[in-house]
Amino acid sequence: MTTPACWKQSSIGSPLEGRWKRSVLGDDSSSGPLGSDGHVLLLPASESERRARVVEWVRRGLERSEKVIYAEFDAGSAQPWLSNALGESGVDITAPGARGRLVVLPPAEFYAPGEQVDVVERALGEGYPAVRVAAEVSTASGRLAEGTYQAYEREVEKLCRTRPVSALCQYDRKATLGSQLAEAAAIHYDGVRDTLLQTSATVNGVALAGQVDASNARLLDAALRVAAASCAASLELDVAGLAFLDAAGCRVLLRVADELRARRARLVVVSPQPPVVRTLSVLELDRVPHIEVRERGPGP
Amino acid sequence: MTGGFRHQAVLYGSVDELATAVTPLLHDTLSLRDSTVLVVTSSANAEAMRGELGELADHLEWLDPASGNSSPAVRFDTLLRSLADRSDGNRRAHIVHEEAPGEDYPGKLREYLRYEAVTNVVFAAFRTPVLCLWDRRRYSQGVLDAVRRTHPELVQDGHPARSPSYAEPEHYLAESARTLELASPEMTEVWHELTALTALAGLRQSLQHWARGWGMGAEPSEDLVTAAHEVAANGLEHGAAPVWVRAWREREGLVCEVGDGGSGPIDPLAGYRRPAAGQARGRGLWLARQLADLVEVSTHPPGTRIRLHFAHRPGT
Repeated sequence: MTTPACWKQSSIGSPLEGRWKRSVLGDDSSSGPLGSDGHVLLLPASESERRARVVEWVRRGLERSEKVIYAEFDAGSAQPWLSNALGESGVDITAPGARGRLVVLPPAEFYAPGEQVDVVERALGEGYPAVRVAAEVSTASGRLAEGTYQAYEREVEKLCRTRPVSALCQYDRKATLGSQLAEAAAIHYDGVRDTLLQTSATVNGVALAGQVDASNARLLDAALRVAAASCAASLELDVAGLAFLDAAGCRVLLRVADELRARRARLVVVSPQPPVVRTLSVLELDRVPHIEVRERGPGP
Repeated sequence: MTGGFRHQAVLYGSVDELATAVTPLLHDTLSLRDSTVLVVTSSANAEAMRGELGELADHLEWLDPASGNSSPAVRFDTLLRSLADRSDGNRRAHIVHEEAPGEDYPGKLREYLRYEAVTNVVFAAFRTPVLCLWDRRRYSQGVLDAVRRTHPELVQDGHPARSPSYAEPEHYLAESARTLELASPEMTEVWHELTALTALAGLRQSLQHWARGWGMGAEPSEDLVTAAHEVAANGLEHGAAPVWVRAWREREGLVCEVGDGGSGPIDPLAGYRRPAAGQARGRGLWLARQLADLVEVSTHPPGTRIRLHFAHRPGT
């Protein structure tokens, strides 16, 4: 994991720490094998999935004693569903000590230029070790003009790079296609989250968890395009968490490998699970000269 | 015999007849420099041929037929690989093979004959003669007719002659799909209707549960899931939605069938050819064919259906 050390600060003795400890220990898998931090793109297939992912994200922040900021266009209705959903998952945000931890902001107070920096600095000034943002960014509703959302994303990306900030940006899956998908995947350097797939940046490349199939191969392509353009001699694709890879996904890997070959670099597929090994082998990706499949073994 | 692709069949009625037909051809090949003859046949036939060929037999390379469990697709690819390993700019291999299943496996036999047709497309790239041995005593007239339709040349008394009923591979395959009537199962255990690629994950999950539930091992279950997924994905991307998938059990194993509302022409060679390195598409059906034990394509009304058969392989 590449989470900078400053984000891993232990929580400052909070009264809520014990309360959430159990869920941290018992339920850590719910946050996925990948670090949830950084600038992450969420492409949910449905409203219920969006809400579930947001709850997971918010809850993880609360468990880490971070300040959590939630921004939704319809901020009035956001407060009740989020509180209820958190309550259902055992997190009482009205409990003493929890107050002020989670803030739901209306659009005017969060999306306007310069607002994000202010909000983050204010929270850090209050003594929180980190700030976690979950914001609806989708332009599908037309509520964020194109220029505004791009400026917003650049600002948030800068914050994620320079301050202890994690941001989950929610896009409408159906409306985010083509060049917009590529653009969105490119700016969310730390990963994308699809219904089936999570990507996250690692030291030497990208880690994948979940499943790659024809429904999200384009998303993978967009995410890997950025990583391939910026890697050195090889791009390491850690697929230990990948349970399924289909022919459409293999096509993406072949394209990425071609792009890498042009730059005299290569693709290293690390720790594939048996079903993925099978597909790679039948489709002979393991025989492509500029692709190396490194099966699980004693690490360096 | 000079270099170049030839696809010939010997329809023999006795071991003597086989030896008479094959010996002169092999003499020709072995007189060429840098030539290998690969013989793939049952051990019983290999024994008989050895006897008939005498010293010549020592110059042949005898390969065991691919494992009895493997599908026609895997057998075909294994042979192709054996050939590729022995062919380069100068060396050439001559293939003599006899691996067809008997008529007690009609589905596999039909598929084997389709691969005989595909041979005319795929092996042509190797400029290699392929000689197929068919025992007339084992097969009915219909099967022997199909052998004549899938081989451009027939060998009689050691002399090759053009097969008058030879059909172009695309034509043979399209006709095979058009005329194949698939009996419907009595009961379907899994049924999915898909309209979008995002529904594929649910299909995979339910097929996985189903296959494991019938005691299939982890790996064979994954093969079934991947193969059915690829065919369904292909239908969603190139066919007419909605795509439906149904699955049921048969005596020998599990069956998945994928269909769509379309009845238009499909590429008869889809999935039969190993995808080239730089090829953008066409990997999904190849993958499905390699993973399933048998694939049957029917374009017979009411619509296009692709049926995948999987032998029951319990977990270890």
